[in-house]
Amino acid sequence: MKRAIMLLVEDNSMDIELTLDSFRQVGLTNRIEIAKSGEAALDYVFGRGRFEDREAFPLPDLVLLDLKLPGISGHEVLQEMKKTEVTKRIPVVVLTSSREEGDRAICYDCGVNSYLVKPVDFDEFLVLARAIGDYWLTINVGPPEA
Amino acid sequence: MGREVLTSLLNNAALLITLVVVYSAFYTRSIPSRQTSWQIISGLLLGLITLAVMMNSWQLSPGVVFDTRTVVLGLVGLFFGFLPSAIAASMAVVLRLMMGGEGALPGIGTILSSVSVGLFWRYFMKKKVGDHSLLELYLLGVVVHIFMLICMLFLPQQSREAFFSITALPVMIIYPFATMVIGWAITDQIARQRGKAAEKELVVMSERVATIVKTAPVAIVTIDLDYNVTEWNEAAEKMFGWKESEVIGKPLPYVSENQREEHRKMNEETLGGRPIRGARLVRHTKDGKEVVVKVYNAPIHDEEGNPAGLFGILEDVTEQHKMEQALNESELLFRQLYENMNVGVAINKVVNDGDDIVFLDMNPAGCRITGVSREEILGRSVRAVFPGVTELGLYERMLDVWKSGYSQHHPVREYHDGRLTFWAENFIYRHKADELVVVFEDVTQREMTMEELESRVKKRTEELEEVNRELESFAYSVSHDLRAPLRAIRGFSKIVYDRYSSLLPEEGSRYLGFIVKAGEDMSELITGLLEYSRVGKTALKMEEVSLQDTVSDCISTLENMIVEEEAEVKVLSDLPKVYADRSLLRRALTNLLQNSLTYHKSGEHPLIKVYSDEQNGFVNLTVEDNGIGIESKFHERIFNIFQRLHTGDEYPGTGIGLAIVKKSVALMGGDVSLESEPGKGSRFTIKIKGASS
Repeated sequence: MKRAIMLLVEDNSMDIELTLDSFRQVGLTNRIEIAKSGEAALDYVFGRGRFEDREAFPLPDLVLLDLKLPGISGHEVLQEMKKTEVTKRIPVVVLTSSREEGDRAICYDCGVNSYLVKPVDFDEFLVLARAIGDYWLTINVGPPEA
Repeated sequence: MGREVLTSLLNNAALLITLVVVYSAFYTRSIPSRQTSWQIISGLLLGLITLAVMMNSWQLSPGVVFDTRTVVLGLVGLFFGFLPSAIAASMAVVLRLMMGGEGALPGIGTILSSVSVGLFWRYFMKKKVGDHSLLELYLLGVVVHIFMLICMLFLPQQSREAFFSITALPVMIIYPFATMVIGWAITDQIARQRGKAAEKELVVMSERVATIVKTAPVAIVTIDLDYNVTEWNEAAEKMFGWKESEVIGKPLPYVSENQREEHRKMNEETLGGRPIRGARLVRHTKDGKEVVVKVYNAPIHDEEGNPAGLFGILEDVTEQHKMEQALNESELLFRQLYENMNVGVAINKVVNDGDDIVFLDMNPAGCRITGVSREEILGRSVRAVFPGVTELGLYERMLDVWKSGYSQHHPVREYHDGRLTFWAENFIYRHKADELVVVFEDVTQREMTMEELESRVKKRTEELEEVNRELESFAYSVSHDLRAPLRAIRGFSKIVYDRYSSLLPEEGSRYLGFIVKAGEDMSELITGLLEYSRVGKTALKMEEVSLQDTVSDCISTLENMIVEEEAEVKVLSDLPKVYADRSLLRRALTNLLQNSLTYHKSGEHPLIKVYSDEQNGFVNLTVEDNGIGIESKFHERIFNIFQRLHTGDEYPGTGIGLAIVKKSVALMGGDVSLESEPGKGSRFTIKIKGASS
């Protein structure tokens, strides 16, 4: 079985660094692709633009999606993915600072697979990173190969 | 004439006298002589007398007898009337027929003629019975016996000759005289009886009058021609205060000096034939009070018909007069009110059983408001004067009130382009069965101002709410967005601290520790701020909530902290149910308990008591601790956001907890209060609606 690939959609480079660091700390060594905007995220999953080459940029097995993104928002990314045949089965885990009801409602309406709030405390962040690795990359059984 | 004839004559005379007895027996007593039964009985008696007279006849020639039946029957006709006469005459006729003989027919003739003449006299002379002069009675006798002579002409020749030669003259001399004597005796009897009756009646009458005068509820006073009092009854004593003995023979005491002249003129008028009939005069009593009297008077005459004085009847109408005056005054008051008030009043009459309503009156304010003049609308149909009343529903309402009798309030409004242009308040009530009163007021100006104000207030409120929403969402977004950089600060400072602090000089490592700590504090602040701004963001859901359960929940949530502080939390009483939003209540309670667990004296373990009481439908829930207490000057301020009384080194905290408590409780319509003294612990009380209210 091939190693799962994650796509991290996050515009804040510090958060990217933190996330990657925490994954490393909890021993998660999977390949992680980065998209720094909603547009980039959609390009990646639909294999457009510089992500055209599916060999180099294969479809991710898990998308970690921030909601607050410049331009196309995380909600729109989620919506596009969930209504497109190729991408709709890919598990999407929202990873955001927002606990707001409105955000949660939209995400679940669009069929998000999980909604996680980023803790401010780094120790708690490590707990979260471990949980993601354990659950989504180990315990959870993904959709069948297309 | 023989002896036999003399005896018969004497007998006849005696029998004639019995007539007087019968008359006085039947007709002069207070017996209802007009009753038919009495008339029949007297008729039969008179018949018997007549028969007796006829039995005591004397014979002139065989078959021709004479007696005084003519005298008897003539007088019977005159004094006894028709029915007794008819009975007596019939009996006589029957007897005469039975006696038979050649004088039978003329005999019957004399019976009938005599009684007829008597009756004729009674009924056609139109005189009062018994009121006859001697001459008249004598004339009656003459007439009766002239008829008898005529009857005698029908006797057989021999008897006729004997009669006219022997008997006619004495009969014509004696019989009318006898008639006169007996008639006079009866008349005299009648006159005596009448006199007695009249006398008696007079006595009764004057007694009655005296009683009436004495006991009459009105004053009755008589005066002589010098206007001195001659009679003064009890009511007069009572009305004016003077005793009878004080006033008899003196001028009328209740007429004061300045009224004498007027009084004299009045009396002269009365004596001149123009009596007073109900004039109201002011008189005075013995103790000087004024009495309003209603006076009736009349002249009194003596036996000769000359004026002898006057009598007056006086009725005390002082109270009535006062009431009438009061009534007039109140009538005036209401009239003026009606004329001067600034509210329109229309009085209407329902005519033709509800077919139409017409104006009876409208006050000046009403005319001013509606722009009509009183004269142009009186008697006219309401619908003709104001065609709009039907469309505005007012006419219908008026009919409703007329039918039901229940008053109604009917505001009438007109709008043009959504703006109020006219508003009148109408109150309709039924005054009489067919009269309606409409009280109306033009409140257009007032209502326009009100609407204007209302719309302004509404707009302001909306603006404020918008600002409030913006503020809250601003606070929320800010605290939200602050989290991302904070996470970086905390995350990286932690990484650096963990991995590289050994590479740093002691000072750098210490400073890095400050950054870590500051990050933690800031993160706590933001969490509190988020919590605060989240309070009230979700819709309020008020329901019955068990305080007991809520308190237990909160305590178990804080279990770790309680164990850590080695605290004791006691719920002292059974807590009731309240009417609240479950999550707000929990948030408020948790914050209060957290505070009590936090601000304890060093070295002492927190002891927290929770209890409640109920008052006027509200529940007071108190959280009492043995902590450090709060100075009274901070009691108000402590509920403001970010208000802290201690440094973070002394006690951890953000200054947001109590603000959250206050906001939560206020949202549920409650209140939070504080009793505390430094060193003596604190008592926070949440006042909130009980479940039953």
